Amino acid sequence: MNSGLRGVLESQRLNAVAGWLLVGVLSIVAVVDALSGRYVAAFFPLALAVLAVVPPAVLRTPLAMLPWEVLALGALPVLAELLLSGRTILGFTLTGRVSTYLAVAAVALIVAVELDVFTSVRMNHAFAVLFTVVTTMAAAGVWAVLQWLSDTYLGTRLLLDGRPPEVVETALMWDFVAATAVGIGAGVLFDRYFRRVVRLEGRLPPEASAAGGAPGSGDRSGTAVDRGDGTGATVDRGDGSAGDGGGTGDASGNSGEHDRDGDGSRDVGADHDAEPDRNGRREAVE
Amino acid sequence: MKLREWLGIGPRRQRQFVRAMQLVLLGFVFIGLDRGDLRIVVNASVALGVTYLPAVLERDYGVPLDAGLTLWITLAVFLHAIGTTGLPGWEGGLYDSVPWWDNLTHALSASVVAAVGYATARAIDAHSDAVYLPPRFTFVFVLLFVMAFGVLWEVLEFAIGEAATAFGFQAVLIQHGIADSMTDLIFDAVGAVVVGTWGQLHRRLDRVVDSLVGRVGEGA
Repeated sequence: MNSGLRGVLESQRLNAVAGWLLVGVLSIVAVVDALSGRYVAAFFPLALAVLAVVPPAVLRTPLAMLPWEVLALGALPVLAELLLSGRTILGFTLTGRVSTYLAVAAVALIVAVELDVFTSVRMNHAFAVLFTVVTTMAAAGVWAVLQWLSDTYLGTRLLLDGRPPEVVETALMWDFVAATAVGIGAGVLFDRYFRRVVRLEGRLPPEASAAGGAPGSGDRSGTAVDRGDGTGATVDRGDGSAGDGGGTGDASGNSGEHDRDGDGSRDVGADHDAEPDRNGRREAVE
Repeated sequence: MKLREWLGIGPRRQRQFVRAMQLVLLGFVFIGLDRGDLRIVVNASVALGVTYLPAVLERDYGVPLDAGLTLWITLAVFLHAIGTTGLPGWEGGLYDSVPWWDNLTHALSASVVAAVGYATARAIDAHSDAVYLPPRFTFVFVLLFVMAFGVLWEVLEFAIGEAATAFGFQAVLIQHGIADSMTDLIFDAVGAVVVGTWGQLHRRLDRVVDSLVGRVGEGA
């Protein structure tokens, strides 16, 4: 247990360092872009940096960083622009539409995780993957519509950049194809990532592992799901006080402390990990 | 107040409407065959197939889609099929002669897609203790779901167009340029917002959601 815990701590520190480095690069890129008047280009790195800073800000510890590999995926087009400026690696343009939509998918995943951890929204892995795929595809459509509206009514040249309309149309359609293919591909990738990270690091609390059972039923045992609407569905069966507000707070407080010993908040992707913090916080607020 | 009461038509009359539209769609298939128009044949056939989907879902999977929901779905595909086929005495399809027809069909189909997204989200929420989707999040998710479907639809149109050019057959779905595609997506969003803000939606779909949850439960 001890050596395992140290392993988590070290990886947590390394992860935090890598994550903060990425946040730093993203912020610099966003500022430089904004200062040079490229406001549209500044938006994405800025949004990603803000999303990355939410967990450490809310949980008040710099170690609560998103998994660096997810952040790096989100920063891929920005980093590629910075380091390669349009050159290709093995014929693959890292600033192209594929890496762009991979980055969008990473951002969608981060949004899913943060919604789950910091709001009353609760997702399991399957729904988080569905949300990521849907959001990546929708982002392509919404982004295109926003650019087109801006071009049509504000006279910008974001989408209608002077090329023949058919060329713009075809390029946009290939964007949509990329968003669809990459969105679904990223869904599969994230699904495997979730399973692998969870299995490798053995993050399930002991009672959840003991309960065994199907994922989704075992996931939440020992933690109270505060639905925020008065139904207060409690999954804790040990305590026998299901559905009652007082019991809910108690159960979550106990299991929260138990979990906090077992694992850090590095892997925000595994929703049950971060839950103790959330429940603990909610209790403190009440 | 229920939409049905407002319109003053009961379930029996709704079923009659559905039957009538199915007959017209069957007619369209033959019109398309007669004219040798692949686009009309495919669109009318697919539309006719979709109108039987509620009955199949009810018979084979026990998902209760009532007369009103069936009418809604049928109307959406029917208006699309009229758009490609046209009416007697009209030159070409309504998509070509009525400027807002495309917007109407997109908003209406999007409303059906929104209902599917809503039912899916509600069923997942009700089925799994680990998932809780508050109303506001569900609204946003349904909007995203519809926009994603709109993008998929554009991809489909694009793929059919490219394949038609490459293999030399008539495209069954046509893209009319970037303004048209963007307006389609905007009206998809309009349809989704109208459905999402319609307070009756959850009540209309409750039985559908319940049966979906029941089926998932049996399967697990």
